[in-house]
Amino acid sequence: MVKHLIIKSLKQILVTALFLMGIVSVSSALTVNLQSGVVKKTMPDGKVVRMWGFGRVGGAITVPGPVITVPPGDTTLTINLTNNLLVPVSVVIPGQAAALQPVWVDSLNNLTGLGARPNGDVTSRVRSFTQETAPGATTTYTWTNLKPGTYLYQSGTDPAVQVQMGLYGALRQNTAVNQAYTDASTQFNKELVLLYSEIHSQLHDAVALGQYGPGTAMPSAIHYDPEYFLVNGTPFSYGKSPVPTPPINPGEKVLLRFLNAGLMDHVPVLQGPVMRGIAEDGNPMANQLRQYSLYLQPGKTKDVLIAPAKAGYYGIYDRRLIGLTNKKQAPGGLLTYLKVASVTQHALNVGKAGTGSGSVAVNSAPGGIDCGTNCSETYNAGTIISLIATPDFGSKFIGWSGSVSGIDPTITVIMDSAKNVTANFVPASPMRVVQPNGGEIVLKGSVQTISWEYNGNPGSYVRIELLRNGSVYTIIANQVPIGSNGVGSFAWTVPPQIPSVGQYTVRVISTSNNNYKDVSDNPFAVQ
Amino acid sequence: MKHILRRKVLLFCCVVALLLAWTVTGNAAISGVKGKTFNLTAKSGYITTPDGNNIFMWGYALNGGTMQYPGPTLIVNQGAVVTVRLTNQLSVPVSITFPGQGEVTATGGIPGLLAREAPPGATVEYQFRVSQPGTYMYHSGTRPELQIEMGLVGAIIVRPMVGGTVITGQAYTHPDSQFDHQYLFLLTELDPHIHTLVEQGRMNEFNNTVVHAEYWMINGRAAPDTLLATNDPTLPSQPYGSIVMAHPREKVLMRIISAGRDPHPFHNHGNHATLIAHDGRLLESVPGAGADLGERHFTTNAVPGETYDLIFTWTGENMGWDFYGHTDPTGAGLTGAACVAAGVPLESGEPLENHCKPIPVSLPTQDALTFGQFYSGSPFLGALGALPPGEGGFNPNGGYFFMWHSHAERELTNFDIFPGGMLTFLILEHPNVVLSVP
Repeated sequence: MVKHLIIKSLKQILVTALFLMGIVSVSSALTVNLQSGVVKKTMPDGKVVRMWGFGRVGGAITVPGPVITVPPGDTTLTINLTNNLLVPVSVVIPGQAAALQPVWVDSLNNLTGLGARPNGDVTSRVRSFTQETAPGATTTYTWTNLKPGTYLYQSGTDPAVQVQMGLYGALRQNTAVNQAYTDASTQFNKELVLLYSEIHSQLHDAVALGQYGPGTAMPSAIHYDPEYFLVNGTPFSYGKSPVPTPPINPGEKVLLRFLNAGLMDHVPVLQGPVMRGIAEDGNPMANQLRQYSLYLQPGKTKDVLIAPAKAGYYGIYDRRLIGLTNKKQAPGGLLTYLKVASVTQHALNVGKAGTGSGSVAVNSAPGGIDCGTNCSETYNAGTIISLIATPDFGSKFIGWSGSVSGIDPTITVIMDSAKNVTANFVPASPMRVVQPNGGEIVLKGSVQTISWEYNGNPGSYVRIELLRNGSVYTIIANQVPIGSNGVGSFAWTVPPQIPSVGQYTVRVISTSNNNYKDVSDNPFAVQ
Repeated sequence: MKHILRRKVLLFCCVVALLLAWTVTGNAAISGVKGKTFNLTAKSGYITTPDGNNIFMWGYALNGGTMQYPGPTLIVNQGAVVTVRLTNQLSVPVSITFPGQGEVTATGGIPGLLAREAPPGATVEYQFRVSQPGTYMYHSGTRPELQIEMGLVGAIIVRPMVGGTVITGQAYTHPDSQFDHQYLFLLTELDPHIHTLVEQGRMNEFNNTVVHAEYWMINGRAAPDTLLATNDPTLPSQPYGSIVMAHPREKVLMRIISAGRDPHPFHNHGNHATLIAHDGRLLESVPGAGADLGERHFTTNAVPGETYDLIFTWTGENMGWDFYGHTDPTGAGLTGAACVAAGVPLESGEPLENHCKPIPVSLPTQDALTFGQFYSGSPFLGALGALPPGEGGFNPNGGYFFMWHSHAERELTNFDIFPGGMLTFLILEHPNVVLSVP
């Protein structure tokens, strides 16, 4: 690796020197061996999405594909694409000039021509912007007049489907080492790629089942309703670390390359340092305006420079708001953090103990722990985080031990030293009130759904009680069928005469086994 | 002019009595609360829409007062250290984030994802130094995809300071941002279905990927309520009106804040406007150059989360006739400077080339006209003409009405009923009509 870098920089120096001396006009070439294939991605809510993606030959298929970094000065890029999908694919780079060979097909998808539209043919359609790589084949794509900047590379074949399916990635090239464009004002110390995209899982499911295309359940891609929103291929969840590499130090100039491979517009807003826009679609800006937001339309790339002065975590969130959930789960989606590292870092290790089970997550900026499986993270010294313990169904949380103590499931931890925190869980009632479970505002006279879950065999009936300020106010119903498949519900007409003042909860209890009972976690209001 | 004639036929019949209030007084300023320390309370309440709907909201209230939508407009001076104390009376955690304000420190509450949060019943305090003048917003940093929709959003105006003194009548420190009047257009949209879910305690049914707005608001009101006065008693939770009033040639500063989730093409009739600033930064090529990169246009694509400052001036140029109705006393067809020399002085802001040029049509007789409430009976600014009984009445000073609105036409509805939504008017008044000073 080191040797490789040295050779690369020697070559760079040589090229630059020769170029400056006017002795020789040099162009060098980068060759990338890419493959396309299938990859499965699991969303934070458990949904498994079957995607198509790019990868390096010999490496993994990823979505987005690998970042292609063209060395400064290179003017030629060759991509050898090996297609491991069952449909033809291709690769195009909007914004980089290339001789394209469009593929023309008739209504039966039979090939009718390549390159120019077949003479006299007014019915053929373009299936691919350029030459295709057939399943199992390898095709070489070449760009001979590369231009520095930030670009999306993507499939040029049936892009309405293939780009959605995941065939996209970022390509970047600097003008010189640590300088994005010709103007010296675009010099930087560190650079990061932030590639936004979306998943409309219905399309992926349909393609996987062969149910996509004319005459099937999903005849076209015209209906687009994405539920998952990804930054560099990952939607936000508590367990995901802040944008990790490379680490940024206070005072460094940072180049952020924003790309939108999705079909919707997003508006990343950066908290803290102001952004200086330096380029759009790989074209340097004549005037570098400062702004805290960035309008990032589909297919767009925008480059900005920031210079965060202080260590910390700087949130970047989609102010378009649509991208801030993982389906119905919040928080999620297009939320990420820049980590500007402080001199001192401290590790937080989360453990779980007791005969019950559950999970512990950092539910404040910048996330990083969902234990679960991701149980340790290193934070800037002084970071104040909030941990939340969530018992599994059938368990309950009884308190914290280790570096902290307390019984509230949410606890604040100050990272002024390395911390080891243990959450203790014990078995609990295998019944759980789902709704109302706190925070609701219930209108008198309205019909409210009371619902619960259970595990095991609690008997046939439950009693439902309304608790006011912790004690039974009235019995809502006495003999309610337990439900089926672990869930039950009851339609409750809220009595108009009950007082508005008070802390209301609902208790659901099995009529034959009072180990099966649960109360709303928090009070709801009656108005 | 074409627009005046076309638009005046809009019938806003439900606001007859109330309209009279603003047509006389106007409110040529941005209403808000000035200071350095603000006490806000997050609480629930209701707003009303012109079609008679009551919508459950969460909003920021000032000093524990009434929930309001949008939250109080915070007017602060450049360089000040601003303290915002947020007390939470909702049943969910809330917070405030201040886009564009750099480093914000917070005490109290608990750490959150975008800001420290106040759990129910608790208070959190934010502090930041406003280093740059301009137009900004604040909104909840807790589940913003839900809480902004619910109403937890407001405007911040930072007034420029030079040498320890506020520069009045100017948006930034450069004179390119001078104005005679300033108006706020905080644009949001609202999906009442979500509000019903939250009101009924069914928040877990909220699906952020399926949001369909039915109301489009300026400063928290849908048209024609936008035309009611600021602090109108019939809209206790929507204090801010958005009627625009100006005289010819005056500079109107439009502060546009796109505070919802969708972009809105905000379109001003009458003249082009010059976009001078974006996200609270003057569009300048180098510091101190002024708004030399300003663009002239008539539609601002207001992207969610962003702010825009524009200078609008109604000039009356290129109309080809004298909109004051001056006539050449000699009958010789004198116009321009010759007409002035003949003893007819120019009005304030009047284009010389049109002076004394007659209107190039024969004015139709009454039986050939369809009237609207906004027609004064005369095509000339500040003039009143005879109207049939029961016609006119909303235009006591003989002003010109220009519709300013979202150019996405479906946003001109209230729950599918046109007209309504994101729509207000510029009323251009004769120079002799006194407008209140910003």
